[in-house]
Amino acid sequence: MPFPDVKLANRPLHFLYLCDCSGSMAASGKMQALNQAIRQSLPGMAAVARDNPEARVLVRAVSFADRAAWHIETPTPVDQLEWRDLQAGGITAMGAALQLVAAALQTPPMEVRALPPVLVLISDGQPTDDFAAGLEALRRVPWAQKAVRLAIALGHDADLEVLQRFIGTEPATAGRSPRRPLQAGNATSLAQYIQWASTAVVGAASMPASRVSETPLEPAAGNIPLPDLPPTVLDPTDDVGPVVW
Amino acid sequence: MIRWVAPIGASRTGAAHRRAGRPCQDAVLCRELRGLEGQPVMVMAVADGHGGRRYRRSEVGSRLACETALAAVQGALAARSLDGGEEGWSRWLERDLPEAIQRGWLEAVAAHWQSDPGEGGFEALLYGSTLGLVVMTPRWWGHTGLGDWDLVRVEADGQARLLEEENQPTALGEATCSLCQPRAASLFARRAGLHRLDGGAADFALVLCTDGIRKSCATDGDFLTLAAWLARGDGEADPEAAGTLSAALDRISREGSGDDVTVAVGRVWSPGGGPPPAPSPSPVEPAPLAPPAPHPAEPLQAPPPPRRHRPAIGRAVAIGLALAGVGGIWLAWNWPRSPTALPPTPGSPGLRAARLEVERLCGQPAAIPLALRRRSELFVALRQGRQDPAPLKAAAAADPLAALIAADLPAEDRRDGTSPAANPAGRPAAARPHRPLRALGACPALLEALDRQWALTPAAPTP
Repeated sequence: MPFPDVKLANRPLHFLYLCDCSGSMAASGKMQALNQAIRQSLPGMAAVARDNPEARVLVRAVSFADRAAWHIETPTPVDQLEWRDLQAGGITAMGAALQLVAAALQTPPMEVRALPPVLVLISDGQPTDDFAAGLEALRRVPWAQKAVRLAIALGHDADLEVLQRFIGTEPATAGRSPRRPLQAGNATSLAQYIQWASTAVVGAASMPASRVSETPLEPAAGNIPLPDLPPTVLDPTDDVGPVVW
Repeated sequence: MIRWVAPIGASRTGAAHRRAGRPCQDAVLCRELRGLEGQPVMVMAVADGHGGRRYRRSEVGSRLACETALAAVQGALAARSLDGGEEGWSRWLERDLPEAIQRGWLEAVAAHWQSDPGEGGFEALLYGSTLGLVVMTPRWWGHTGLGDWDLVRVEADGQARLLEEENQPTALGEATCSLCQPRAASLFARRAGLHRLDGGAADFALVLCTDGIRKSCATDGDFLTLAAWLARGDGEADPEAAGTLSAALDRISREGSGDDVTVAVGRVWSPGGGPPPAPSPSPVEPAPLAPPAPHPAEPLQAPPPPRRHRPAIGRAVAIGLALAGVGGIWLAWNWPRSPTALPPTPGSPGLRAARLEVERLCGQPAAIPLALRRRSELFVALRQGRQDPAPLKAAAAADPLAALIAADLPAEDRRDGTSPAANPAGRPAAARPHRPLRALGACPALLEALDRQWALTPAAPTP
């Protein structure tokens, strides 16, 4: 009996950048460094996607300044993505960006069979709108709860407490420290973090092991285990250039 | 009365796992069992080990989940009549069976760790697995389990309907309920259901599968179409069917989710729709993790018909007690037994479960009589020869109390209508010096309560 006429398909893996485009990002070349880091990471991300054909990596991006808006609204296969430069200017509507992402992670339009999405928040400052409301909206969405959430702080003015609240608190496990926002002090370290998120993390999220879900009586056992950071990022003695931000 | 075709199943390593050199973490087990009155009962189980570093022994956990589930079903079928109330079986699917499965699974994974310890301490989490189970009897069929498995009913005309899925908001992505959760047994009820069968009902099939299949389909419509095809495939009953199924599963994983893929199919037998059920279907099951040691005093071939010429238990017990240590206990425990039954091996989860049950009962002697009274039907079935004690003892890990009762069946028990008062089973404990339960450390309160319950149990009526 011939195989039936059914459509088999790999599973979508949504990767979302949330990029701070406030005026301060124009200082010291941060905006330029972010655009360059993301653009340079795309070939590596596409290679990981090719190596994991069971996942269909789809990229989107939100920019936030005076308001939040989709920079790339349509989930775009990574091998078809052309990164348009973000422009800096305005304040930091981070809460609105979280609201925007929360709406996009509802099911529908999110597919039930999707892989846990990856959210990467990059900021150099403090939110100027109602961050708590945005975070609450995000937390209510099951897909956001299951997402791999990463945060990259650019420079010493970034609000680490806010970024920590975005990624949530995950207790230390055997051999691993609790998750913290990644702190980039220059273009090189930013590029390394972006590269790591778009390759190692995407690779891990493409082929995840299932895990025990939370129940009303038992807490969650955590989300997708993150791969290790590259040694050059972990070791402060490695030469990643001077801290300029 | 409905007849079921012996279920078939297959489990294949996912394309992504193959590429990464990982083992298949799914398991499947299909088997034909017998009810207390000899009715054929089909059982199929699928399990999906979680995989990953945190659950690094889950390929063992999934296999043990299927094995434990089958043993628990076998234990219950040996203890209760299928002709009894369906409400009771419904409760069994929701509560009693899950408890037996989780208990047996925890013991089994602990025993596996003991036999093959790894780095760090033992955690049931290492073996985390889901479990989906379908039991098909002539009068009803039922399902239970936990985790992200799917169950589809396919009608004779090919219409398919999703009957069961993990429908928890918290279970999105790769999150799922698991046997390794402390309160896992309580999570079965929401996935349990019993469906009565009407003798004139149309034929249908049941397709039970792990999540890798549904997640490989672009839409649920595609999944149902695929399930309907899988349900039809087993009816061909040709030698290539199994190979076709495996090839189909490989394709599903390769072009879909990349995950391990597992399916089991049960089907009502239609007199006009194909060959009748095979009298001795080949069960689909994983290789045993630790093959049971052959019984030292019994050949494996030429099994005697059950209950026809049971050797005297006193002789066996005497031999057993003459042997020192665990082996002696094992021999006492397992003699006599059906050669086809899987006995608890020395140090097996079954024997440990029996010991723990003895400890538990003796720790609360006041509760023993009630615990035994609740099993009064089992006492009757054993004493009247309607129940072979061997499968109960073999399934000790799943139902240790039933195993203890079976092991305590008096050798002199007879079916001649002797009054309970005169029956040797009713003799005081002191009059039965050689009892297997003594070797397990049974306290006087337990032995006396058993004696009282045997004394209250009517023997078989005189022909």
